[in-house]
Amino acid sequence: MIEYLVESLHGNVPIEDLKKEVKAGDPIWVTEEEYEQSICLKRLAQRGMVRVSQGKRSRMSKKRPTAQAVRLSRPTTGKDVKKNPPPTPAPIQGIPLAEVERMIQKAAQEAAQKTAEAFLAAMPTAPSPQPTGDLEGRVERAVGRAIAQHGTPASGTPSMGKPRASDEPVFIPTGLIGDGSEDLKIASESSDDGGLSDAAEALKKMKRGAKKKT
Amino acid sequence: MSNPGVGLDIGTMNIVCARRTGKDKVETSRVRDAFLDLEPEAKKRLKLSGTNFIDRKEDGIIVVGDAAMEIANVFGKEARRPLSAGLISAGEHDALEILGIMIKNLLGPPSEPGEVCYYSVPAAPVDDPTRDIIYHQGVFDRIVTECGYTGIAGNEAMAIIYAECAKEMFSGLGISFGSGMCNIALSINGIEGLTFSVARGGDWIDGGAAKATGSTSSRMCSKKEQGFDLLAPTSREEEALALYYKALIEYCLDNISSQFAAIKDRFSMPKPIPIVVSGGTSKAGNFLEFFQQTFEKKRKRFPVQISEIRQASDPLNAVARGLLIQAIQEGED
Repeated sequence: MIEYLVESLHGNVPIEDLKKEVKAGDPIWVTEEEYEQSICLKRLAQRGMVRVSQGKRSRMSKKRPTAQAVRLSRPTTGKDVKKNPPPTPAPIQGIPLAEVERMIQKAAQEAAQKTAEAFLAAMPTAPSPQPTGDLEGRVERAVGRAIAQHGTPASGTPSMGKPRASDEPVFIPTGLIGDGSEDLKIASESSDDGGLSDAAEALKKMKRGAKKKT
Repeated sequence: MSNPGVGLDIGTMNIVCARRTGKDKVETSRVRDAFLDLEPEAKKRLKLSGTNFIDRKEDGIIVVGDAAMEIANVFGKEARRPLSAGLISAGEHDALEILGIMIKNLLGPPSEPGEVCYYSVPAAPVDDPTRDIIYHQGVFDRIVTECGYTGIAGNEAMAIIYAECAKEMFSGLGISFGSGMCNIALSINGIEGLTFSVARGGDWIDGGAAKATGSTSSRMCSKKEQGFDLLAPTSREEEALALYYKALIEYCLDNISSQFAAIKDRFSMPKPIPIVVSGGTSKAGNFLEFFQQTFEKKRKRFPVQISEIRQASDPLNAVARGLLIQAIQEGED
C-alpha cells in the first residue's frame, strides 16, 4: 500500500478537505486515495506549504528524545554563560532554502491580493448621495495635509517652510488696504536732492545703451 | 509732474516712501513698522494726543507707528511687528491688514492712474533656505496695486547702488544693514552680478547683546538708537553691542566671499568698485570707521577689488531714493 508522508514547511498547516493538520516537526501519513482526492493538499504542496514524499510507513515507533533538564546556577548571567551562535535553519532536503522562501512570499502575496479583492468587492461603490455638511472643512484639512507633506505649513504661514518653486501658485488675499476709513497722520520732509535727476538720467542712458547692444 | 513715480522701502523697522516733488526735490515719508493693541477705553486719550490708531470698535484699538513703540516701552509691553527678519511675519495674523493701511496712507492716491511704484524686496537669505520671499513679494504687489499704482519689485541692495553709485555707472557693492536682515548686491554697470541676503541684522545684534548682558532686546535697541560710539564703548552693554556689530560685519563679508566664489568664473571685474553701506543699523556712531577696520583685516582674502568704502548720504532713506530713481526712469521710458 502506497502512502505519502506530509511534512509541514510553514508552521501548522491545516488540510481542510482531509480534516487533518500537519504540525511543524510532526509529519503525518496519508493514503494514496486521500492524496488523490485532496485538492487542498496538492495546492499546499504546490505553494510550498507542505512537502509530500512517497514512501512506506515504518512500523517501528521512533523513540522520541526526551529533554534533559540541565541545572545551571545562573544560566543567564556571569562569565560561565556559553554564548551559542544563533541557530541556523535546518536545510530542507530536496528544495533549496531560497526557493522555499520565494514560494512562501509568493503565497503570502497571493493571499494578500485575494483578501484585498474580497474587501474591495464588499465595499459600497456608489457615491454618497449628498455632500456632508463638513465638506469644506474636509477639503481644507485634506489640502492642509497635502501641503504639510510637501513641507509647507498648512496654517497660512507662507513665509516659513520650504521655499516655493517659482511655478508654484501662491494664494494672496485681496482687500488688503481696508475700507479707506483709516486715516493716519504721516510726517513728511522735503529735501533738495541734486543727484536725483542726474542719476535717473544716467540710468536711462545706460539702459538705452544696453538695449541698443542687444 | 511730467514723470511721476514713487519709491517704497518696506523694512522690518520702517516703511519709507520717496516721491519727487520738484526738479531736484524729494519728499520722504516714514512710518515705524510696528503696532500695538489697546483697550477701547484708551481711544479718548489717544485722540487728544493726536496719536495714530485704527479703531476696531468692540475689538479695541490698534496704535500704529512710532507711538506703538513708545507706548510699548512705557508700559513694558512688546510692540507687534508686521515683518519679522525682513519678511512678512508668519505668526502675526493682523500683519497684512496693518501693512495695507500703513502703505495706503504713506503712498496716498496716485498722481495719475497706474503711476509706477517701485517697492523693495529682499533677496533670498542664503543662511535660511526656509524663508520664502515669493509670498512676501506677492502681498506687497497686491497692496500697491490695490492702492492704484503699478507695482514693480526692486532689490533692496540694488536700490542702494542706484542711489549712491551713479558716478561709477552703477557699479558697486551695496550692503543694506537692516533690522531684520542684511541685503547685499554686487553690480557692474547696473547689471546684478550677485544678490543675496543673510538672516541677521539689527534685531540679531539686539538679541545677542541682550543675552550676553542679561538685558532685554528692546533696551538694547533703545541704547543703539540713542547713538553710541562703536569705537569707544563706555559700558558693558555697549561693549556687547560692539562685539555683535563686529560679528555681523564679519559674517556679511565672509558670505560675500563664499557667494562670490561660486560666480567668479563667469563674472569679470574690469576695475575696483566701491562698497556702500546703508540701512538703519549702519547709523551707529563711527559705523563706517568700524566697518573699514573690520574690512581691512579681511581685505587680502576678499575676492573683489575695492576702491573705497563709504556710507550712504542718508542711510534711512537711501533704499527708497534708489527705488524712486528706478521709478522715474521707468516712467520716462
